[in-house]
Amino acid sequence: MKGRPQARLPLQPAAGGRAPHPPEGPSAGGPGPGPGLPWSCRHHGVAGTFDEAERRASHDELAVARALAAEGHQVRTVAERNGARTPDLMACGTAVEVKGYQSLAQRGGHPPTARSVANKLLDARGQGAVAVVRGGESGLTRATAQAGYAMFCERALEKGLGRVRAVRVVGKDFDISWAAAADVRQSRQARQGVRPASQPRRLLPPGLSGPVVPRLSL
Amino acid sequence: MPRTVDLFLDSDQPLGRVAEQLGELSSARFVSSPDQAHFVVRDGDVIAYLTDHDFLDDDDLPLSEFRYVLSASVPRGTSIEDSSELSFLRRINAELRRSGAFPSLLVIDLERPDAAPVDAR
Repeated sequence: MKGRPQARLPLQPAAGGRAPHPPEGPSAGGPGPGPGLPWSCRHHGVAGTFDEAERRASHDELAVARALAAEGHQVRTVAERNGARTPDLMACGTAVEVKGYQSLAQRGGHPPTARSVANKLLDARGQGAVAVVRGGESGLTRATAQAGYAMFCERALEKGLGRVRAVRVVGKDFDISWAAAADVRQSRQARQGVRPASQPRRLLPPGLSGPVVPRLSL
Repeated sequence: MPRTVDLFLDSDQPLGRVAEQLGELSSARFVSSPDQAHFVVRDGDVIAYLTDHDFLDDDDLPLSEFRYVLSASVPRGTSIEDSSELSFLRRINAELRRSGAFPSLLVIDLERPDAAPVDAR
């Protein structure tokens, strides 16, 4: 970690040109920041900053902070308070909780399961409006992330979302965002037999079951 | 991204009674939150929370078999294996095993069971 530049890094948009804050709506799928993320800010392609002055970021936090800053956000680490659950980052005023994984080798060659993804998200409920799971070198796959998110929503349907409003899972070759609050709300309405007038019922992706109707941004 | 150490334990007793029993076993004081939804225990710099949980079973982690969890966050920058939090929960886990009070499972960062044998703690 030594030698890492500290405090207020101006960051350029990621190479490859993902447009920050794509338009909202059912057609706004695809990789990267999705329709469900709670930021109302618009940065129009201007790179944000990353401020590490309050606390040094971990490896996973740094990777997520850089990605958010590249999308235009003003990102900073949050200092720990003894005994209190605090978010890892603040990005344009929104609390972000980062969950990471050990590497595939450290995991004994077993990549994370969908249930593991769900547990990470369940654990994030007390901390941030946006929960970001970073697969890193764990071997986490897109399909596992999707199934894990569906399991999380099923659980949240019964037990609540806590502070989480949106979920993002980033792996080696994917980056998916979901509107967790909207998905759980829709699922609850579906369970109660209420169909929102403007939102047609969606089918579950193959392999998923249960009442959850995740709005996948793929 | 603080890493967590979680001691899962099972009992048919209500949370308050479990907190009492853990307090007797560990000689630590479990203090209730105003809404009785969780209890907090302090041991030096370590702070752990006792509550019920809704985590899912995952491979060799049969978490749903355990009704309650005692969780402690390891401060950022601290090795989880060398942390006071892991030592504290290992101590309680060893006491639980010795007394046979509750079935228990110590889990590192919700990813793997604690590898250290109970007798070595």
